[in-house]
Amino acid sequence: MKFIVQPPPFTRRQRSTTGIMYELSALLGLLWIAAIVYNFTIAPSYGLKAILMVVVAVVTTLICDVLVGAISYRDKEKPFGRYLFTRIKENYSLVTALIFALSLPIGTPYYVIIIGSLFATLIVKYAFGGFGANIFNPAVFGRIFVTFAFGSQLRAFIGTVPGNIASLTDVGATVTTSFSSLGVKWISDSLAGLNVTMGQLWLGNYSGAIGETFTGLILLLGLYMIVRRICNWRPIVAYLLTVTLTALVVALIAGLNPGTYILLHLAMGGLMYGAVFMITDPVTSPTSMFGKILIGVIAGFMTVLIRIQGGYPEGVTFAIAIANLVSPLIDRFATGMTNNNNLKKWSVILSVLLLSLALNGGLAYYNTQVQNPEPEESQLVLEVTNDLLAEELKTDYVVEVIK
Amino acid sequence: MINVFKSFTQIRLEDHKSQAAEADVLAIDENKITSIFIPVVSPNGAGIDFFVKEGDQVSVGTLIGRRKDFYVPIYSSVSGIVKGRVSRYNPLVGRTTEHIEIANDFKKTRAKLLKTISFDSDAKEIIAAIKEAGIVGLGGAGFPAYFKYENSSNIDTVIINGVECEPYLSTDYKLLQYHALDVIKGGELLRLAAQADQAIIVLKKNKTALVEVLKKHLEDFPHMVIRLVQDIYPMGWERALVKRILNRTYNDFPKEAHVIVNNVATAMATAQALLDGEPLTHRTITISGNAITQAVNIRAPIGTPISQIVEEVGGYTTDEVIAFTGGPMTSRPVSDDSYVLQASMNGYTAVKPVSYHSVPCLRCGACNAACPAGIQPIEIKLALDSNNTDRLMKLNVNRCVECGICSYVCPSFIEVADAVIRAKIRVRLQNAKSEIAKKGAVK
Repeated sequence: MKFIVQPPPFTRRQRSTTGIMYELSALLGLLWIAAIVYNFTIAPSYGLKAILMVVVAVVTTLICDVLVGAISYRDKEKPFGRYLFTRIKENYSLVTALIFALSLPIGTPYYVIIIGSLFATLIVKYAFGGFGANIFNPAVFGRIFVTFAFGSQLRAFIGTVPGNIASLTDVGATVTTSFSSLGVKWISDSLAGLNVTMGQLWLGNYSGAIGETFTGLILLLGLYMIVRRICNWRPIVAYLLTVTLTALVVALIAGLNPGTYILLHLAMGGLMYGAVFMITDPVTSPTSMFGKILIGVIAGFMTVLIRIQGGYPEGVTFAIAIANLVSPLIDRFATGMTNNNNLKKWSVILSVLLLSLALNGGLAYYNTQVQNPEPEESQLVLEVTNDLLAEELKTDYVVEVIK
Repeated sequence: MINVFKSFTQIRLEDHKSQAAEADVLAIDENKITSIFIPVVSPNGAGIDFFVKEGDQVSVGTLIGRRKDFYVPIYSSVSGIVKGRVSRYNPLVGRTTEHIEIANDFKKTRAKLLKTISFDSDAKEIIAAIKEAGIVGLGGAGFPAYFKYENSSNIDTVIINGVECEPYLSTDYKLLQYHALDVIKGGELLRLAAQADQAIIVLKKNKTALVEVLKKHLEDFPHMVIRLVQDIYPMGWERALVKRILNRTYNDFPKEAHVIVNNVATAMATAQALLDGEPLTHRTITISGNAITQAVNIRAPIGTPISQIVEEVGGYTTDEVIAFTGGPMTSRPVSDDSYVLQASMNGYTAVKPVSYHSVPCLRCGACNAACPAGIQPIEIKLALDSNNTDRLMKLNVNRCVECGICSYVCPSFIEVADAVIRAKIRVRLQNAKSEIAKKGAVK
């Protein structure tokens, strides 16, 4: 008779981290399939590229896993193969690779994907101690890294622009970039000049980052993840709610159609992708439920702020990076009991939300009313010396010819 | 009100009770028990004064000793001859301690019964009688029952806790089934002792059969009501019960909320001691678990070795087991089954070994959201692992009730509960240190 001694409890919920992570990978796989199918409808080379982009990212992270595993192999008792297998299995690099690759546009060169994956895995993840110890989301920071380092290479087409791509106004630009460069930055409720409809923005059948465009599908996957408890609902809901409320205020101040404007904010720039797959990453979130709500609000605030005032059109990755940054601080702040001080917690959340509404609303007012007032009836004044030319120029627009 | 800062889902455990709960309660064959053993230290480590010496003849119910810290008399559970001291394993204090051995002479001679009282007695008399009967909390705590009544005032409600929310255990259920009237009488006595307006028997919602049994007797006891609670864990915890039943909260002890909580087994023992004069010498224990041949409730004299009880019900099914005293959520495992049955032990569970392979924490916060005490188990574990005692002191470690939910919900199978328990020891040590430092400064 042998009595084994181990700490209680002796019954556990059958929900494992490994299960959660591989279910998440399967959901990202669905998104990948959607991307492949859509890209094959453009051209076979596009479809193939969509497949290979993800494969390249996954293989690169796997090589990183093997490399780091080989370096950190100490316990000679355990066979190396077995050690490596557990290491790869429990570092969930697959998820990082998928999230990173699916956030890149179709025209991204393979070397950029490789460098981005190397950065995400080796620097952002393993340099901090691997899964569970990284303070920044590897996929988000990989994406930010390639945005900075290879910004001009992240194109929404391969080679020359094919005729059947729906949405290019500007060669090399994604829909979001084009949208934000029209008129006053991100203060517009019109898709005119973009060649995409609202329906396309939500369905995803337009050219952009291969996985990010399928807003509707991502929303469904997010709902599934919440129901299956793969991710916490708090950051998603807080993030989307903050963006919605802030966009509503901005729309009202700038005199735009609130409904359209909110839908544009939610559908563009990979916001839904960030909300479902990036901000929910538990490793880089606070452990308290209060903190999980707060980072959602902070990220929503920052997203709209960067969009209407910052230098980058999407804003989502940067906003999430900022949320990652403040997470340890929030954990400090939330030390103590989780079931009291609710008033204090709510007031912190609401103040950040109000700050978002006030600052973004104020900026919208400043950008539209003060800096770029509504252009009055346009008047073209030309100074010409030649009478004949002056006669010729007398069109509807030229009111008066000054000699 | 819904609190978004806490988990919405309530933990419903697989209860594994059915086999033992459906079987009849057995009584151990006392003719097979050659000796019983009474540990010379009480569960909290306090010593016991013994009034008998080697060679003394004792009967069932003979006063053999009394605890040094609280007034808790200890009565012999068999008749026979005191043999002297032997060393045995005692899981309640976590080490080997000396035990007084009493050799059974199988004559079952009875000592004089205790002085009985009636429902007309006043509170003081009842408390004195509870004290004299040596009644301790039979739900697992083993805390002297009289103490709560002697040191409380303005009590308006006595809660008789029959929730038994831990898996595997079914002693309370069987007691209510067999001795419903005793439980009700005991509850009435406890209510009178506390001078409370009402006594509430709390049961789980799915125990509807018991409600019928109890209702038959309740007509004669107008101050007693039955309340049902959901089948969630840890519903049987005092704080959860007081919140759920009366919507009251308190800081340290239920008496702050004018409530006293006692187990149904304690109520029954009170009735049997005070009305029938039988001191606490026997108790019912659930022998259960998937490594036990036959899960059953069995009544045995206090002091019987557990190994003998297990043998009586058919032994183990495997060679390797994890065994523990009580339920699987809170109990620490025992290193063997040679220890003896003590008053506070409500179950002996042996399960087939399962090992949990842990992966790094993914900071999902499930433990924080689920913790019924409202503390942050993973933050406590991180602070403990990094030896950050300062942070540990801010994390309300002492509010932990060791319910085990944090480890239960952890998807990474991290031993969070174990870490919190170790953190409690660390904090206690730190408090003691600063106390000493303060005293030194005064000198």
